[in-house]
Amino acid sequence: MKHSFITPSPKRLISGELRLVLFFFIVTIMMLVGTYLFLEYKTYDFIDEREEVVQQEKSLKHSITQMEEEIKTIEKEVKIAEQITTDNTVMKESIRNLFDLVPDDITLDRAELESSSLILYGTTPNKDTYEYRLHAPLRSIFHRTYTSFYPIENGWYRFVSSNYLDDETMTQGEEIK
Amino acid sequence: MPSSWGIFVIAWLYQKIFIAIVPDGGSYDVRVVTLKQKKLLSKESRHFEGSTAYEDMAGYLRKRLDISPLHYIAILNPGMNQGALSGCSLHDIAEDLNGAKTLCRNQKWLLYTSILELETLKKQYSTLGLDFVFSPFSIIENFFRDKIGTGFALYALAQKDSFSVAFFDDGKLEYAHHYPMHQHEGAGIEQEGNVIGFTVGVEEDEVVERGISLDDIENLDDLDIIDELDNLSDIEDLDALEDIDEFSDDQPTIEEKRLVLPRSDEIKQEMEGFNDDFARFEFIQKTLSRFYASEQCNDRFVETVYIADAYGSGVELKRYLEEELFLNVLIRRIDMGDEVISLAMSEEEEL
Repeated sequence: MKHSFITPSPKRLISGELRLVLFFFIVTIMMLVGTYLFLEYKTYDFIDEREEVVQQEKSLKHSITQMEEEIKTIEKEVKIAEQITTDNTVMKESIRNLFDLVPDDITLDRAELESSSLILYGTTPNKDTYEYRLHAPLRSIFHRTYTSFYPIENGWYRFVSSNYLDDETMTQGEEIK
Repeated sequence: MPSSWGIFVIAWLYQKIFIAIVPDGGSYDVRVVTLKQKKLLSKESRHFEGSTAYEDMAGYLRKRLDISPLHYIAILNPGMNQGALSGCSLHDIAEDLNGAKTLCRNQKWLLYTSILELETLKKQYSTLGLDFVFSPFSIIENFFRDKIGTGFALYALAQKDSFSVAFFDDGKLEYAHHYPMHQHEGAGIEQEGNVIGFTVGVEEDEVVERGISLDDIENLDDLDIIDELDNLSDIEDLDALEDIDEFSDDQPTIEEKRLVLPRSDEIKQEMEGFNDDFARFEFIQKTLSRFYASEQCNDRFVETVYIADAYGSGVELKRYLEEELFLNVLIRRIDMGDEVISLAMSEEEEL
C-alpha cells in the first residue's frame, strides 16, 4: 500500500447464493452438453448403422436377383428334364407299340425312329404277309407309307418301309398332347 | 490460470463501489462513488450527525454494500497520534519499538500512526469493515501534487477537528505535525502530540511561546531571504502588528466581542470560525517556530503557505498569516470526500 495504513480485506466475488446458482448453472450446462454429445454420437452411430443396412439391402437384393435367375434356370432345366422324360416315355411307348405291331413272321433288321417318320428295315417271307400284317397297321398310323421290296436268296424279301406323318397331323397330335 | 480469468471476468461484470468516510467530530461525511468499467455511474454524498449517526451511516452504507462485493471503504484517519517524518530509517523498527504503523513514501519520508488507535478504529468500524485508512498528509501530498515538487513551502490541511501542517521541499517532506482541534480547545496547545507516551523517532521541543522567537533561529543573518524582509518598509518592528485591529489594545478582541454582541446562531458560527482560524494561525506559528529551531531547517525560510481548506472559512486565517507572519498564502477549497475517494481508487489500482 502506498498511502493506506491497512490492506483491504479480500473480496468474496462469489457469494454463497451465487455459488449455488453457478453450481446448478454449470451442472445444467454440463447435462445439456452431455445430452448434446450423446445425441450427436447416437446420430452418428445411427447414420453409420443406416449405411450398413443400406449396404446389406443392396447385397441382399443382388443375392435375390442371382437366386431368381438361378431359379429360372432350374425351372427351365426342370421343364427340359420333364420334356425329356415325357419324350422318353413317349418314345419308349412308341417303340413298344412298334414292336407290338411287328408280327412273328417278319424280322426287323433296323428301325430308324424320328419325330415324324419311321423307317423300318427287315425281312418278310412274302409280300402278302407284310401287306396284311404290318403294312395295314402302319398305314393306319402314318399319313404316307412307302415300301420297297428286295428279294433275297432264300425266297424271302428284304423290305424298307418309310412312314411319314404330315405336319398338320403332328400339329394336331401336339395339340392333343 | 482459468480460475483467475474467471475471477477477472466476474470482477469485470461487477460494479465497483468506493466509499469515503470523513469523521467530523461526532458526525460523518460520507461519499459513495459507483463505477463500472471505470465509468462513473453515480456519486452520492450524505452527512450523518446526532446520537445515532454511526448506526444511521452503517444502515445507509450496508444497503450500498449489498449492491456489489467489490466495495472499498476508505476513511481519513481521525487518530490524534499520527504524523509524518523525514526519512525512512524508522520504517522497519517503528512498529516494534514505538507501537506505530509506518508507511514509507518514495524512500524519502514516512507516515506514521498509532497501532493502538488504528486497531481501535478498525474495531469501531468492524461492522462495515475498513479497507483503506489514509493519513491527512497523504491528502496533502495528493491534493498539492502540482505544488509540492516546485520548491520549499508550508502546506496545511484544515479540517474542522484537526489541522495538519507539513513542509515539503521539492516533493520531499521535511517536517510535519498533526494537531487535533478539540484537544487544543480543552487542554491548550501545549498538550497536543505525544499522547499516552506515543512517540515516533522525534524529540520535539515543547515551544510554548506564541509567535516566532527569532533568537532561536541560528545563522539568521546568513539567510538571503531576510533581505527581502528589509524591503518591507512599512514594518519597522514586529510591535507594529499591534496596529492590526484584532491585536490592538484599543480594539476589543473577538472574545470580547462575543461577550457583548447578541448570540444569534450566525454570530456564534462566525465567532467559532474566528476562533478556529486563530487557533490554526497559532498552530502554523508554532510549527514554524519548531521547524526553524530544528535541525531540519537548514537555513530555509518559508515564504509561501498553501492551505487546503475543508471547513470553508479560511479568510481570517489568510489575513492573520499575511499580516502577522508576512507569508504568501494560497487557500484552496478541498472536498475531503473526493480526495479520499481519489486515494482509494489509486490504491485499488495497485492491488
